[in-house]
Amino acid sequence: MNAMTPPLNATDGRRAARSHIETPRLETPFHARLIALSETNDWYSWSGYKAPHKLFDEELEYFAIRSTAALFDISPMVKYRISGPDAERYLNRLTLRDVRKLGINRVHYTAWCDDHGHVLDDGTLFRLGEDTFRLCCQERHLPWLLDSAFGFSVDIHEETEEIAGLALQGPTSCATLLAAGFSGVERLKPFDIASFPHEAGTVTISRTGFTSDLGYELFVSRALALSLWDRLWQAGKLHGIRAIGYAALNTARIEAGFIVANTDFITAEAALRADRVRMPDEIGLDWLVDPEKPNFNGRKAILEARRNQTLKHILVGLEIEGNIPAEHAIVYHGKKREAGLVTAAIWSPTAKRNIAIATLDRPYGVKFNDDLWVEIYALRELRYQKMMKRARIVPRPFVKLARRTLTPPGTF
Amino acid sequence: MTSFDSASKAYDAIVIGAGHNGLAAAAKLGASGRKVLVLEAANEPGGAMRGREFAPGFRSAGLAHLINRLDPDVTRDLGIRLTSSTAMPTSVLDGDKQPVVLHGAYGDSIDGVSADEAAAFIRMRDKLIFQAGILKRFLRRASPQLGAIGMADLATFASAGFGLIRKGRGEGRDFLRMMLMNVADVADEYLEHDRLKALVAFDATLGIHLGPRSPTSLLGLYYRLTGEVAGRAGGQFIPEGGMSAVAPAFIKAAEKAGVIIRCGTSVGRIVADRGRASGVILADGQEIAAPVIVAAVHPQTAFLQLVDPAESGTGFTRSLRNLRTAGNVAKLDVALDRIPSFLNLRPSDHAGRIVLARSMEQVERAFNPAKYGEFSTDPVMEIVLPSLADASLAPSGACTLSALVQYAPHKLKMGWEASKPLFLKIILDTLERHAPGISKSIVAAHLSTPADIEADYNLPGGHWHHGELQADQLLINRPTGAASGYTTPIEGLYLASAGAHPGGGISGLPGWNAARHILSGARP
Amino acid sequence: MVIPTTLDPTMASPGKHFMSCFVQYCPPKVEGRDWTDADRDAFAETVIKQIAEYSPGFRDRIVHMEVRTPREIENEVGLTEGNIFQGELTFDQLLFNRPVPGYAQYRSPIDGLYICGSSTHPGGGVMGAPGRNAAAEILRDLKRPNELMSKAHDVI
Ligand SMILES: Cc1cc2nc3c(=O)[nH]c(=O)nc-3n(C[C@H](O)[C@H](O)[C@H](O)COP(=O)(O)OP(=O)(O)OC[C@H]3O[C@@H](n4cnc5c(N)ncnc54)[C@H](O)[C@@H]3O)c2cc1C
Repeated sequence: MNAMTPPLNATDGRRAARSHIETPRLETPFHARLIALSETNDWYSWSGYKAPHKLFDEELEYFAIRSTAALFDISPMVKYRISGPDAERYLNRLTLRDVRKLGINRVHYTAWCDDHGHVLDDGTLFRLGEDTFRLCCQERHLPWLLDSAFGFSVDIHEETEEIAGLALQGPTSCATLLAAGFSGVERLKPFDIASFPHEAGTVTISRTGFTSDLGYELFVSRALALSLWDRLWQAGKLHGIRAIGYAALNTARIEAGFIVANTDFITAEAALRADRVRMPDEIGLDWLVDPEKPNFNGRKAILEARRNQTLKHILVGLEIEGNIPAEHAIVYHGKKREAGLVTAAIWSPTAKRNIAIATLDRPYGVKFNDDLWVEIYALRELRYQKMMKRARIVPRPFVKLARRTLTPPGTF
Repeated sequence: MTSFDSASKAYDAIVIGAGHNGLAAAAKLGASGRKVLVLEAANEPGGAMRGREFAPGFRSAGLAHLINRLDPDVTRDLGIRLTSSTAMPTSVLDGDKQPVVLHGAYGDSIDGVSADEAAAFIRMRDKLIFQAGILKRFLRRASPQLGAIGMADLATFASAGFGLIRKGRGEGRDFLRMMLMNVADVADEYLEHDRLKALVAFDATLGIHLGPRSPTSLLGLYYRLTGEVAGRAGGQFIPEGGMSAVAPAFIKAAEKAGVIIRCGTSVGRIVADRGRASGVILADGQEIAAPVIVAAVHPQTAFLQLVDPAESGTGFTRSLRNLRTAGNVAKLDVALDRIPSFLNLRPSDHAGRIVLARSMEQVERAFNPAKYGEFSTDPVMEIVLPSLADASLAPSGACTLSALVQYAPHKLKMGWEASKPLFLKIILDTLERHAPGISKSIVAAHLSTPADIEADYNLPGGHWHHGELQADQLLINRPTGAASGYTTPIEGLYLASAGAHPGGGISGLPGWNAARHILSGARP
Repeated sequence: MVIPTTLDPTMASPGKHFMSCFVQYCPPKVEGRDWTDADRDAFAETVIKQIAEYSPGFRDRIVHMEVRTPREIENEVGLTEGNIFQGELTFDQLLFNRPVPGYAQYRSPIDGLYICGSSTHPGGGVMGAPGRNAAAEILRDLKRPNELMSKAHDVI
């Protein structure tokens, strides 16, 4: 748990306790660089942090991901350091995948559920050592993680504020890192981790990302954040490095078919309505569930739901005719019966297709896969153009790039 | 349920804990032909009814000092005979005025109050017994499961409904009004007399962390009135041979059913893998396999100590850790060189139950400090003289006194180590006020606080009911939602102690119900 | 404690403020007898003293003060025993038992006389639900349609 420095006296304490009122949005360790680059002054709140929605141009930022190198600040991502002799056993009980199979200096994508098998969040688990892990996710979970620690010899420490994170994604990302002096990074296979010296400390680089492209994620202590940024920026100049905001990243992640908690599904802790919670199998995460490994939270409920066929939803990728994004459109079967909802949709610049992620109510998406339609309302100068467009279930990712996995990556 | 008769298994079922509930469960399972092993950590079976010598020549028969809810179906079914020729009267003393003495089952006749007041008491009692009778229908069955209400549950609901209608709409309405009231408001509605009010306030709250004015405190009185003696609700007795005869009766029933009881055998771990229990590992490392494990121990012992936390869900563990199970009752055993004499109390009434409580307000004020982790400086208590029913407990001519004293919180702010002598002195001074001269006849006094009870009886919190018996921990929430109805999230592992439905006291119901549930083969 | 003039300065003359305090627990009787003016003033003094511990100088800023014990509340607005919910919100006085068993449907023993205060279901607080429910019952008795009553929420 994070220690709190005790206040000097009661008045100071009260003042300190309300400082958040004066700082409505926290600044990330990279804020000084982002604000200098921001031409649009377009910000949003990411878990209470001021984060760029876009910096100069959404489309050009997107093409930095696909054509050169895009630098994206992921510091607001919630990060927990989990360590101790029982860390592996603890995480194996907490999360769906078998942590025993996760090697040191490896990352895997996973998710975790409550006792009823309802997903609390998804995220990436980094194994930094035999007994040391980092869990990265969208939502905060300290109370759940601490309660889960009962009976385990494990230390849980939230390090969201202490650790700064950057994603460097795109075809020239490896070349940029090499130019910055991180030699050896080219040997990292997808989901590998390595540490490199930076200034007086180290930077942890993993070959991971949210874009389905060649890319890396870098973590350093807060104090070294700006110098790391500058090092990459300098090295990336000739490799077309661009800083990007969330809008561009979101386009890339939809192409990659990745889901976002509380966008594509409602997490069990955020859901107010009883029918909004989701089991892994209902949001496309069935492949994470490992019934062979030791017991984990939600196991019984998930397996029971499979056995009794009580799963109610399914998450699918859709390809929709036309070129108007079907965001939040209702999905119909036979143009009449409601079958689900689109949670994310774009015209994919790389796939050149109109794509979407949708949640369907079973048996749609399981038994009835044809004759699906989406109803798109396009508001154009205060008038809705209503369209009923044919939708086809297609596999995700929508965009598959050979360079994502090629090791060593090509030098562009 | 997995087949009981597979020859490869040495035991069909292992029962952890030889309290009377563990023994009742074992006896019932054994009687059906199952091979049953009971494992008990202490050197003797009996659980909270484990007796001991607390002073040379003086024995205590255990924590429980009288019976008021031993279930007749349980004893009949298991062939247990525990009877008494005399019903115990209850005397309420305030150390000054004439005692109020209730005879028969909860005051069939009352000495020391006006005829009007006695009639008012009977009116209230009959109403409460009627209402308790509605709840009683739920005691002998597993509590209904949310989302899986079966025919039998519906039948119970229906019979409860009919029970209400039979008495007319007004009674039904009154039940729904009163159910979650506090006992003080109900007593005020019916009664005038201080000590009658004090008695119902005391009986409603004994063993529960509530004062008479706390919301829902009436439930405790209902619970008491669901108990019966010789077919009459609300009475109490000490069987022939005294309370020392109770544990042996259960042991005999178990042994007759072929059950093997191993004492001095502490279970260290319940073996479970991916939601299925398969045996136990003893503290000394020995592993014993069985397809059915019955935990007749405190639910926290079962799931926070014996089952690997990795085998439980975080939410389940959290709810068990949040179980309210801090005991409030201290047990005093006193060795006396002669039979004491309480002020104005007839000699024959000394063999009954003696309650020291002046008024409802005293009970309430005794509770107040307990809220803040302090003991009562003016406590209320229930006294029995056990050696009058069982001469073997004391040398001839001498006497033992047992008192259950409220309120003594499990976690005392000042720490029991330092404060126990003071609390003991307060209790003994109280005794002296009610029985002048008793101090001089004291040979030894042994006080067990809830902390002592926790240590001596392997009982987390030292709680009477293995967990508060309050609205949030009853029926489908006893001990907690996911482990109610005797089944648990772990297949093959069942709960059968006072921590399970319907709760504590010497009733045998949790154990017997659990065994019946297992035998019914109901899926978890 | 709330200081409404921080949101709406027009409630007091310029530069001045208005502050309102709800104080728990204040029984309808003091040790079994009625409140006296002296009791009231002593109670107020206790409250002021406590506030002043948190807000030094508070006492000197008071221009005018009004104190309402349950006695004053009963006298001024007719709330029996000054109970702001018109009756305890405990289980025995909730739902079908509010305010008393048998009269929980907004109808009284007297035809044509309806009740719809906080003493009726679902109880006290600035909510409007008892009144709305009572109106629905009255319309039902009058055999008049109630579809014109607006829904509290279209979507929940
Ligand atoms: C102070 C006090 C006074 C009471 N007075 C009365 C009364 O007068 N009348 C009445 O009806 N009720 C009374 N009760 C309530 C009653 O005693 C209990 O509700 C009842 O004993 C519960 O029985 P049980 O079989 O469920 O559990 P217990 O009697 O508690 O038995 C549990 C057994 O499990 C054993 N155990 C625990 N852990 C392990 C392990 N790891 N391995 C093996 N064994 C283990 C324990 O040693 C114990 O023997 C009183 C309770 C208290 C605390």
